Amino acid sequence: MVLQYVTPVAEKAGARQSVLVGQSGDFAEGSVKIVRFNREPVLLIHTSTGQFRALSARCTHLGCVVQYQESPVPHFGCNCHGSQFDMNGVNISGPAPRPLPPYRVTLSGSSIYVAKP
Amino acid sequence: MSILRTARLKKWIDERVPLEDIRAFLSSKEVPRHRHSFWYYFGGMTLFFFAVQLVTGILLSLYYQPASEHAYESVRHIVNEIPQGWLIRSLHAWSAHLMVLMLLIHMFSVFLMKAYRKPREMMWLSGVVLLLLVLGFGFTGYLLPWDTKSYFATLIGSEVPKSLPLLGSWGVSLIKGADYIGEETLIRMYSLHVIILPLTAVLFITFHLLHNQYSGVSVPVGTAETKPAVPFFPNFAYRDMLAWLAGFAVLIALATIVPRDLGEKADPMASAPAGIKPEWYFLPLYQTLRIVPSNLFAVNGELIVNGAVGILIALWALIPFIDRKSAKGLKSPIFTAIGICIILYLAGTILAGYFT
Ligand code: HEM
Ligand code: FES
Repeated sequence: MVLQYVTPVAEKAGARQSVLVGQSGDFAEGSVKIVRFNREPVLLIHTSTGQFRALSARCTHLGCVVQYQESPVPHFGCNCHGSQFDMNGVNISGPAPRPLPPYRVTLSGSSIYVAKP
Repeated sequence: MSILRTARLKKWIDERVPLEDIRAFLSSKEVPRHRHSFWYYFGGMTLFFFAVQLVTGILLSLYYQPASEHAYESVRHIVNEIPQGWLIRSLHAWSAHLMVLMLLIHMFSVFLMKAYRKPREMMWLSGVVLLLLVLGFGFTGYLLPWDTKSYFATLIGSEVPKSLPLLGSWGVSLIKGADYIGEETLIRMYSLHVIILPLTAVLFITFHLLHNQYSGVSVPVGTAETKPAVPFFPNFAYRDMLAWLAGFAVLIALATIVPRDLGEKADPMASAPAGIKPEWYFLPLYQTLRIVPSNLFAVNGELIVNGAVGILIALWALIPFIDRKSAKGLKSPIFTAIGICIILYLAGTILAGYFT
């Protein structure tokens, strides 16, 4: 009984499946920005070839928010314990055990939506 | 008050509550004197800083607001606008450091003096519980200011036990109150920090002290008493208070010369800044997790470290029952060596974690 009371309720009501994160003009080509998907930080990548991709910004090690770093080669680094991920989210060094999970990006006109895959 | 009035008041109370008995109970305990007597001060010092925590903590709670939208602002309000607020906050933070330090010195000195041996096994056990409670205070208090450093340090710290089988991820969600660090987490940390842990700690401290009063202070095996023992009350209590005064002077100096800082407000959507590290007393765990590879013999490295920490704490709690020699009143140099190795490991990982 008490255990039930203290165990958090799993899914918050009102979490949306697909979230409008901005207009395509807000994101320059070749840039990466952190956008908000409900409670989660998501990396929105606008590639230099003009495509949009999205990855979870949460490090798969212990959950810090990763950072886009341009040098020496563009990659994502985690400041907490030094994990690194390539631009596809694959873990390439450090303690992170898994790649950054991808999100789905859809464009409707110039509006950009992010959704769980 | 005239002497006569004081005597009348004393008589009045005495007829109802046996003051003389209490006094006799307090002075029945004797503190032996020998070349290791110095270490007897540290339990009292820990108690003193705990009292400082209670007083300053209650003062902070008059203005602190445990809501993620207001926590940071309320701490800034305490520091910038409430008269002496910066000092109260700084005392609370510094006294926390000193309390952990005193507790560690106290614990390792009673360990090396084998004071856990019969009949004080339960004092040792309650001491181990107090250690865990104090570390719990440090962990839960850290998030409260809701600045960047405290946010990310708590995020990492609360993920650490996740790799433990069965209870791990449930335990993590229990302290977080959700699957992210947010409003629910802050309120749970606050409840733990100011209600659950203080009540539990007071209970265990009371037990610890009463037990100590009953069984008296131990003399290490093979140590000769150099001078006659002194009664705890009033003689040793008076010396204890002098030590507290010295501790208070150090605390005031630290709190005013190096006031506790407040970083930027936490932004859960921003990248973690560089240099996120836990408080010094969690560095041994932090550094060990850094040394152990993420996959060791095909087992998750964190699982190994967490499992090892759990087992070591259990062994540490059971020391009085493992060290059979000192239970019989014999010297047990192996345990002295173990204690020294642990101290060296902790000191080494704290230094390595701090400087690298
Ligand atoms: C009954 C006892 C206590 C109460 C009521 C209390 C209350 C509080 C409150 C309201 C805060 C938030 C204000 C702030 O961040 O400055 C706080 C912070 C904190 N407390 Fe306590 N506390 C108590 C005991 C302890 C103990 C025993 C420890 C020690 C190990 C501790 C360690 C901390 C720490 C590390 C912070 C964060 C300090 C900071 O960054 O300002 N507290 N406490
Ligand atoms: S949380 Fe990212 S490396 Fe540890």
